[in-house]
Amino acid sequence: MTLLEAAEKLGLKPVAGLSRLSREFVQGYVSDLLSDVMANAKPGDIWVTLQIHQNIIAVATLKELAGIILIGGRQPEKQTLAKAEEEQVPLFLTDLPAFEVVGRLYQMGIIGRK
Amino acid sequence: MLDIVENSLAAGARRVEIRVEENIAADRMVIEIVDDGCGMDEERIQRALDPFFTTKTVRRVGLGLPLLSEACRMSSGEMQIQSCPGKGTRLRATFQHSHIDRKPLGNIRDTLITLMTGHPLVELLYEHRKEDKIFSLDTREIKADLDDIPLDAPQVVSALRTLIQSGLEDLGAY
Amino acid sequence: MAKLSIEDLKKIKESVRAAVTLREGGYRARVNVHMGTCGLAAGARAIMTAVLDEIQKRDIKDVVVVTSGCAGLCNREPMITVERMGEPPVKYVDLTADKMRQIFSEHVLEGKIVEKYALAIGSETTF
Repeated sequence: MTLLEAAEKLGLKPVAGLSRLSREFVQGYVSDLLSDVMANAKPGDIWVTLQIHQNIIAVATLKELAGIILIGGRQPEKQTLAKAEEEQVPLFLTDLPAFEVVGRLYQMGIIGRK
Repeated sequence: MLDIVENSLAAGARRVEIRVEENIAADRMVIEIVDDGCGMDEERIQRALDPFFTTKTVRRVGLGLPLLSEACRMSSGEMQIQSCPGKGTRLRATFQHSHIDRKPLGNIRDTLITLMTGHPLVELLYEHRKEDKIFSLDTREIKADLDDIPLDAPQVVSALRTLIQSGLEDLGAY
Repeated sequence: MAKLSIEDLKKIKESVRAAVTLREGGYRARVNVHMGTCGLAAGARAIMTAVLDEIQKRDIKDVVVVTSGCAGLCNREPMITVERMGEPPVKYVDLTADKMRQIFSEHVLEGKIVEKYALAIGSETTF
């Protein structure tokens, strides 16, 4: 599935990294502890989180994640949006809670582990 | 602590002082790490807090300080850095002691042993105050007592592990 | 100020002197545990504890353990580099405490590289 297809199916709003939306992804990770994501996320994972600080963009580039879905209607900080655009890290917004987003992605075939 | 001290060492520190203060009455915990490394000017301090700034060449992000700063913020605290080029750096991280999101201190004993064995030539002071009790250890003094025996000799490590464990237990830090 | 007791110091000095007379001189191997932010997040602490424990358990006196910062392979942490005297350094990645113990007994002590955990075998020695 591409990021764009997932966004369309779930009603996610892409706000940064638009040049990378045709990328395929097959796995995901959900966590709000950045140290946990640094330890356990895999390259290519789509990351579901409520964290809005620009540190998430740094972690996403470090771990080569496919993109970030910000849940619960949260708005990224100005710097976060700017960095996401600069680094072309796909960033999506949704009002859905994390559980719903992850559940639906899972139903669409995105898995959490190899 | 390990992460921040690694920064101090990269800055050429020969002595690192770690002070922890737990003040239940004031509902505050403070961790202060002071080094005598090369220090930073004001501009560098600001850049150090940017997750996309790093002095390393092997990667493009530097997350140690930003992550600690965030941990403080999430516990209604803050992180401050004072530094002077040529003199060293003082990092002060404060946390609301009772905050539900404050992360635990973790295994201080193993942290100290890791620092001492990994960098036996660096002087390390650890001082931990909890209410009116205090535990402190200075490897400068330990080394003086050991004469020429290195700090990372297995017999020394073993004795230090016991010393630190009982000291922290007496403090009620475990 | 916490200090080692007179008794502890006496025991240490006696024990160390005995070891020095038996040792041929120099260290057998060096283990470098990478402790950058990503390494620590991934569990480098447990690796450090495991190797220090093996050293203590087996009463090894000629293996040096050092720590260093990030090596740039943040997706393969925790990582260590093992260098036996006169042999090329070997990087091990994606470690757990159990793997560390295995590497310790096979490579560090006996010189048998554990290939399934190794990333790269270097061509330069540093000591």
